[in-house]
Amino acid sequence: MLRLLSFFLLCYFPCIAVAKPLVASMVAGPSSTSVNIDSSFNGTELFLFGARNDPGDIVMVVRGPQDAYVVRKKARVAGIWVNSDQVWFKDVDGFYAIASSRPLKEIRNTSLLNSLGISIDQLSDLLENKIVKNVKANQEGEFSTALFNDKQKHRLYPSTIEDISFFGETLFSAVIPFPENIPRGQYIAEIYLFNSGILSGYQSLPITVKKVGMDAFLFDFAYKHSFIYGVSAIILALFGGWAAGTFFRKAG
Amino acid sequence: MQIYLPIAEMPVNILVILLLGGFAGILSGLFGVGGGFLATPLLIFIGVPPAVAVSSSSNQIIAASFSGFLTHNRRKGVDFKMGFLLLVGGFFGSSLGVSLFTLLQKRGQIDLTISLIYVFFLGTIGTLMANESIKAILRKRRNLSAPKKKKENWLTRLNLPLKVHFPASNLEVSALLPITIGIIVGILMSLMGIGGGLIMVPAMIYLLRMPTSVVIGTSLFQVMFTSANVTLLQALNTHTVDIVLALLMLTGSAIGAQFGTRLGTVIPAEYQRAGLSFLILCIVIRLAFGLFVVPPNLFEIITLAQGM
Repeated sequence: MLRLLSFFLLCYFPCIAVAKPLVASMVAGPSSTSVNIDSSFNGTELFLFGARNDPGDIVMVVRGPQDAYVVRKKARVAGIWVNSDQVWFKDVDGFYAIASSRPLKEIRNTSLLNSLGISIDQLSDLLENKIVKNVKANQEGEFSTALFNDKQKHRLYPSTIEDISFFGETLFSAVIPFPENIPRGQYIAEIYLFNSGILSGYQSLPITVKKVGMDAFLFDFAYKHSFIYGVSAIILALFGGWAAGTFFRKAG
Repeated sequence: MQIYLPIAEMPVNILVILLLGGFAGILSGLFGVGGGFLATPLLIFIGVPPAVAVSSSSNQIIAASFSGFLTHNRRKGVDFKMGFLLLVGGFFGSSLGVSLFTLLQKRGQIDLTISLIYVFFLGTIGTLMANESIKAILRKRRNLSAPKKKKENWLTRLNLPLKVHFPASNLEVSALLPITIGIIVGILMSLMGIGGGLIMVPAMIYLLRMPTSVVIGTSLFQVMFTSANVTLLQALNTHTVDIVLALLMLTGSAIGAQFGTRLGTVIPAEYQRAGLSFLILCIVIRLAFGLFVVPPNLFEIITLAQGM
């Protein structure tokens, strides 16, 4: 009986010794859950920060609201360049940014990173999966590359991986640049903790990009009360024209 | 100094927009054109989405043409009777043109159609105008007396019904002429996204044989109403009228139109026509070039949905 008890105790103790306390391996948050666009907006920076309780590297992906696109290729018809082949894309992220505390190659889990979409090289290939319709296009790859290049040119898709800096052993922060023409809508920041190539922590944060103030008012007005908006625009223009004429008449 | 535009959804330099509007305004007062054919491509060039550029341009054209119209009207330079008939045709034509525009847009061939139409019509008009005005200038230089101003041409000699007397233009032509011209200009306006003055002014000079003194004022009268129509239609259908952008532009263009009108009274008519034809031909050459030369970017990317 005592032998049986001591046997069980022998099995049990190592488990207690090894079991960790229940603490998240990593926590993170943004400096603000919303990015406000007002009339003085000219691009901004998104600050993300956090703390890690376990060792490892932090990798972040920020994705923007999804849009649909059509990409058309020009071809020469009777000497003139005409839009010919067309490819339609759906559910494409309007914005994409990647940040990492260490070069992605050194994370040593390229296949997992690629499947999570954490790779600039893979992005244009991943866009191919978002093709929904195709008219006369032979090489779909060149259309997704064209879309990727266009996004990259407008700084909506990344050309480089952003830095994540550590302060001491646990605190980290990242800065994601937002260009001046970022789309409005719901963004998501996904933060991963990789320890020797193994994913050991994850958190996702919603971030909203919205218009505020006069801009928001005008935008809503243009959509909800289009007729009054249109008439007001006309009246303002007529007034402007009249005012200029009167002012100049008085001036001589 | 920058400002973020609510509908275009991008920041722009205020000074750049004011200058852009001012330049379009000068052309407006000087030639009786809407200035849209210059303002719209310039806006697109600085990065404004094309649809927003077209709609907001139409908005500011109202100001420039109204400003110029008031000045011309004060000098009795508007033939209201003719203008009204042109307008009637214009409304029919622009409605037809909008349906045509939508159809072509769905097929993805709208840009090509626009360029071809521009090249064909403006090319014809520009060449004819350049030819006529240069001859007139040369004649004046050699002190030759101008040939009797033909009050008739092949069109007026066609015995068309509904002859109306136009006192301001001192003409008697069939009412069908201005209405038909109005319809054609209306269609072209909706397709090209311009005020129509560029087609209207040469049409009035050469087809209707109106005296230059009333051509510009009457053209501005028509441009005012048709661009107001386009602005309202765009605001209702596509919501692409950016009122902040339009306000900035019209501040520049209303002032510019005043300068342009005064400049127009100083410069002789044939030099004005020569200047306008030169401008038209430059645009035509640029467009034709764009059609035949390998484009810098073979791919065109259009955003379809906008996340709210």
